[in-house]
Amino acid sequence: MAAFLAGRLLTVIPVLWGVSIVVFLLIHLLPGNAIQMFLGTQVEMTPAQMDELRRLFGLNKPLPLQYVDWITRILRGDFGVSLRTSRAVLPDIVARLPLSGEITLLALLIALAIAVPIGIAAAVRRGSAADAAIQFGGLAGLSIPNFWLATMLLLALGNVGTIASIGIYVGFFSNPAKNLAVMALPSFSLGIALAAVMMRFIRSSLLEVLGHDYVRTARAKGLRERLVLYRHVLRNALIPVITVVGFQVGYLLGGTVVIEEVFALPGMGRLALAAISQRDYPVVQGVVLVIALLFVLVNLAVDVAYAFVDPRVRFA
Amino acid sequence: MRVRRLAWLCVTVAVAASLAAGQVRAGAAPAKVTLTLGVDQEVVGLDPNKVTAFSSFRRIDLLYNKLVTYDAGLHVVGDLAESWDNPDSRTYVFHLRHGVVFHDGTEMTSADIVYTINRILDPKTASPGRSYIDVIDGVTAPDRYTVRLHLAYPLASLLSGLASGNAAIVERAAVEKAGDLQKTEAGTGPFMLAEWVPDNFMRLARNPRYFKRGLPRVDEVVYRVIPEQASLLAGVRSRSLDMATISDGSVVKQAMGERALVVAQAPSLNLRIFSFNTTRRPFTDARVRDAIAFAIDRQAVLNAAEFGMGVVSGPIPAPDKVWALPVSDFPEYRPNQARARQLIQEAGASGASFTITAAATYEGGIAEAQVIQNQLKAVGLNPTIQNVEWGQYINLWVKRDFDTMVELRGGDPDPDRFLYRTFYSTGAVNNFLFKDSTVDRLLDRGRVHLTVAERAPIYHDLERALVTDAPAVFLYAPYETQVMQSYVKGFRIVPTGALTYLEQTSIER
Repeated sequence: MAAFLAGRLLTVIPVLWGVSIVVFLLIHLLPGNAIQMFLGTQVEMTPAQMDELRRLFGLNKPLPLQYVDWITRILRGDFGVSLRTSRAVLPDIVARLPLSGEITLLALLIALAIAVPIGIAAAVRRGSAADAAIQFGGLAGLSIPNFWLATMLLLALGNVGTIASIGIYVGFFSNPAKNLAVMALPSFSLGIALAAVMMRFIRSSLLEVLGHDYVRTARAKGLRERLVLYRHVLRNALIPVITVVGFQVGYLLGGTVVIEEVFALPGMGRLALAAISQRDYPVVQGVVLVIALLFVLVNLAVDVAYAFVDPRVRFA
Repeated sequence: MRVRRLAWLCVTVAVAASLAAGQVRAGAAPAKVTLTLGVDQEVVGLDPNKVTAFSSFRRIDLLYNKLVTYDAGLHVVGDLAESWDNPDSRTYVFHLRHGVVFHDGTEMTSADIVYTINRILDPKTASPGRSYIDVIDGVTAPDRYTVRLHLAYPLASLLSGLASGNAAIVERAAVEKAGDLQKTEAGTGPFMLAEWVPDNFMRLARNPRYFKRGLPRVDEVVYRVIPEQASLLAGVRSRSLDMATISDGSVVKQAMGERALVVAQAPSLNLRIFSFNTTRRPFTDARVRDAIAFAIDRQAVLNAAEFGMGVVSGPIPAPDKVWALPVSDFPEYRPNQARARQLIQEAGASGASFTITAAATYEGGIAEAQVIQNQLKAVGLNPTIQNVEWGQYINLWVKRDFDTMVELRGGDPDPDRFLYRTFYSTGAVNNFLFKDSTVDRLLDRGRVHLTVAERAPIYHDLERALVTDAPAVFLYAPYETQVMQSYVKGFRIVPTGALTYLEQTSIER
C-alpha cells in the first residue's frame, strides 16, 4: 500500500508542472495585457509612463524568463502579488477556498441525496412508467445549464422563508444557519446536473449487478428482496460510483466559477474570472495551480479509496 | 421525579432568557437605518487621486469631497469651497468652508488642499487626474481658509478638473501615515468606511460630523457587489437590496413590469460613437464618413441595441444642455440613404469592405454593430463584424488597429475636457488619428474664455464641424438606471453617474 501511494504521489509532480506551463502560456498569449486593462479606454498616459509600468510589473522581460521567475518563486511558496490589487495572491486564494470548497461539498451531498434513492428505484422498477419518468427527468437535469437554472431559481423564488435569494455570505463557522441559507440555492443549482449524471450511472451499474449469477443464487435461496439489494447488489454496484464521484468533484469545482458569479459569492471562481478579464497574471496562474492541485489530490484520494475497497487494484 | 425537575429547570431557564431578551430589546436604541445598494463591480482601490475605475468613483462620491462639484443640472457648485473668484483669467482664489473636519476629527484646512493638488501633480503619484489640472503652475495658501491657484495659461475646464473624483481632497497627515489610501480612506464625506470584504460587501457608516447639517439621512450604506444583472434584479425583488444600478436594458424592462419597484432613469454623459480610423481607406475621405453619418438611423440603433433607453446625441452629450446643440440642427440626423449613396459614389467607395470591431462588454455593443452593419449594407458598403473579447478590444484600441469601432466614450460636463483630448490633432485619446486645422483652432479658442456666453458660439461651430467631418458618427447618450424600492426617497441621478445624492436619500417605510 505504501509503495502504491508513493508511486501515485510521484505522478502528481509532472502533472502540476505541465499545468503550470500551460496556464502561464495561455494567459500570457491572450491579446492585451494587464496595464492596458488597468488603464481602460479613458485614461491618458504617455508611452514612457506605460513602459515604466511594464518595468514595474516585470512584464518587460522575455516570456521564458518571466516563467522561470514565477515558477522558482512558486517553489519557494511565494505566489507573488496581484498586479491589480497589489495584495499577496496566496492569502487571497486561501481566504476564498472554504467557500468554493463548501459549495462543491454541498452540491455533492445534494446530488448523492437525490441520485442514490432515485437511481435505485429506477433500477428496481426497470421498464416501468416510473423508470421512464425518472430517465426523462435525468435527461432534463443533465441538459439544463446550471447558470440558467440558477438565474431562474433566483427570479422565481425571491425570498422563500429563510432561504436568502441573494444574501450576504458569512462563513459556516461564524453562523451556520445563515451560511446554509445563503448557500442552499447555489449548491442546489450546481448539484442538480451531477444528480442526473449519478442517478443514471447508479441505475446502469445496479442493472449490471442485478444480472449476475450470484444475485439469482441469493434470490433462489429465498433471501428477501430487500436483503438481496442491500447486502449483495448495492455493495458491488457502488464501487464504480466512487470513481465517478471523484471525477465529478473536479467539474463541480469548475462549475463554482459560474455559480459564484450568479449568486455574488466571494469564492475562488470569482477571483479567477475577474483576474482573467483583467489579465492579472499572478492571480490566474495561482488559482489554476491550486485548483489543479485539488483536482489531482481528489483523484489520488479516489484511487486510494478504490484500492481500499477493491483489493484487486492494490495488487495489480 | 428527576424528569420533572429537569422540566422545571428548562421552563425557568426559558422564562429567564425571554425576560432578559425583552429587557435588552426595551433598552436598545432604535434600529439602524441601512440603505443597501447593489452594484455590478467590485473596486480595486479607494485612493481618489489614483483610481481609474468608474466603480471606485462611486464609493469615493460618499467618502470624500472636492473643492467644487456638479449638481444634477450640471452646474458647478461649491463643495469644500464656499465661493471662488478670478482676479484674472489665470488666477483662481477659493474661499473654503469653515469647520469642516476629516473623519478622524482633524480640521480640513487650506494646507490639505495644497497638499492634495501637489500630490496629483506629482508624476510619482501617477494620478489619472494629473492631465486635468497640469495647467496649474502655482498653488499657495494665503491663510487657513483661502487657496490660490495660478495657471500657466487660461483653461476654462479647470473647474471640471477640480470637480472630478480624482481631485477629491485627502488629509495630509493620513496619507503620510498610510502611504496611500487604496485600502483605507481619509476624507470629509458624508460616510466613513466601516467594513470592506472584497467581492462581498462594503459598509459605510454615517459621518456624524458631516458639514452639511442634517445629512446624511441614513445610518449606513452597504454596497453589495453582484456581477450578474439578473441577480441584481432578483436582489431588489426579494428586498435584499434597496436599490441597484442596472445597465442591461432587458433586465431594466423586467424591472419596469414590477409594480412595487421604481425605475429612475436619466441620460448620462457617456456617448456612444461609431469611430473611424481616418488613416485607413476609404475613411481617409471625409465624404465617406459624412455619407455614413447620413446613412445611420441613430434612433433605430438606440431602439435595437438598448431598448430605446437613451437619447440621440451630437458630439456633446445631450444632457449637457448648457453646450449641446439640439440634434435637429444637424442635417445628418435626418437619415438620408439617397444622399449617403451619392456621397459614397462621388468618393468612389461603393462596395468598400471593412470591419466593425465590437465587444460585448458594454451593454448592447454587438447589437449596435449589427444594426449599423445592416444600415451600411443598404447604402452599398460591405462591412463585416469582428466580435472580440474585452482584453483584445482594448489592445486593438490602444494600438489604433481597426477600420471602424463601436465605442462608448465617457463625456464630461465641460466640452473642453471631453472634446480636446478626443479630437485635437495631438489629443491623448484621438484614436481616429483625426487631424483638422479648423477643429484644432476652435478647440484652442474654446478653452481660453471663461464665460458661457463667450464659449458657447465657439462650441456650436465645433459641433457642426465634427458632425460633418465625422471622425466618428455620434449616436446617443445611454440612460443611467437605478431600480429602487418605493420607500427609497430623495435620490436623484446626476448625468456624471455620481452617487452624491445618496447623502440626501432616506428610507421612509
